Amino acid sequence: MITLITETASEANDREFMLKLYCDYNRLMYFIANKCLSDHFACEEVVQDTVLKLILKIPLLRRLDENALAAYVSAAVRNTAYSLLRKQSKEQKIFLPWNGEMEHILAQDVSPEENLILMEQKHAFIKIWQELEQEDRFLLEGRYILRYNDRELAEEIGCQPNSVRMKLTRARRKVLKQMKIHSKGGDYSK
Amino acid sequence: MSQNNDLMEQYEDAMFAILMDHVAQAEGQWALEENQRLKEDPNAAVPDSVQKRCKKCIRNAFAAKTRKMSAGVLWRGIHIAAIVVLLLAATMAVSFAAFPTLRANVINTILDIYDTHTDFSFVSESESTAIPELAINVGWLPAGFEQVEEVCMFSRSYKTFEKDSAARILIEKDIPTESSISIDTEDSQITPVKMHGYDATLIEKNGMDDASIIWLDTDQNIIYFVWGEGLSTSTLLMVAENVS
Repeated sequence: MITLITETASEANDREFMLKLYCDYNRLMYFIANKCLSDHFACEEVVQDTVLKLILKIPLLRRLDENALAAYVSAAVRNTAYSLLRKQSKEQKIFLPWNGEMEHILAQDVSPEENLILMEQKHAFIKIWQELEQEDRFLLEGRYILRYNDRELAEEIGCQPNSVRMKLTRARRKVLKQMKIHSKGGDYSK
Repeated sequence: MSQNNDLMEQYEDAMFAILMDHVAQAEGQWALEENQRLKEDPNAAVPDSVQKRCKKCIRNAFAAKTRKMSAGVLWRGIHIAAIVVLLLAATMAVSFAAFPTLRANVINTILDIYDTHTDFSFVSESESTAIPELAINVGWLPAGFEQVEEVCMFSRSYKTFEKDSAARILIEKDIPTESSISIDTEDSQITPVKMHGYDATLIEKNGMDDASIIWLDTDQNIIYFVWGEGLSTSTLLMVAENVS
């Protein structure tokens, strides 16, 4: 009985936390959904689906500072919108990237020593990030900002969980390659 | 070579965790500023329908979570009760044959009404050890509705029906627990009605084809919950009258 009372109180706290989070960020969530999708009903669906995803991550969300929490919420909306677009395009038989059977992992052409130097170039990383292909952003955001595990990521992108590792490696190496080109003053946007 | 690859992958993973933290900080800064701007912009208000839908979604998610959690606690409780009964039987030679049939003893349905929702709690004098029948029989449905989901858990079962994705019906049976059941009653009309001879509560959302009925079958000790969207209240009442 005591366990039940404690657990129920905790549930009530979580519910209050979630309602407050929604009240704080509902305009931002709707704004981002609108930027990604033109259909009003799709926006509603995305905001609601995002809310459900956030509920599953409450213990993590409670630990985030204000900046990281805002980043998490906006990334969650964007990723949910992108998932919906992927789903719709699949239903319409228009295949976006990632659906190919053969995934080619880029060769590791950036050495660990070079990586250390690239680590210093965080500002360059931000610029590259902004110009990164949507699919790669989606994957890296899912792993490192939304902290999805392989199974959750696989569900989002519609692939087998054991393919996620390969796709992540591929995305990371693409970014590293861009950073290397950038560090040498080349045209990294290609 | 494979081990080398694994190590390199772990190294890159750690490196990206740091780099992406930098992205998250920048993204967070932008999001906070944008959020502040949107809060001050009256044109950026989220439509009422979205607000209601999302708040309802949060409450429903927690109501379902609480009920699921309660099932686990109830299950543990029944296990402990079973052990106690066995010990009594072995050491005190208590004859249970003479026990009268356990009857449900629910005496109160407590309503905590808030601005946006109402919590229904069911208080019992003593807990019945009989497990109620949770299978749902639907005697009547309006034309065109098809079943889309059926779930049966230890303390809860439900069926959902849809008609052309425009109208929905949910029929649910629950075993009462100490946890309350939250129902969205914001901007709603709440009317006491009778259902199968039991006291029931009818909740109708103002201006929307959205209604629900909840009642407690005190003979079987089961909570019935029937919700409908996109159909009239009288039709939903007919559905509820034919549920068993």
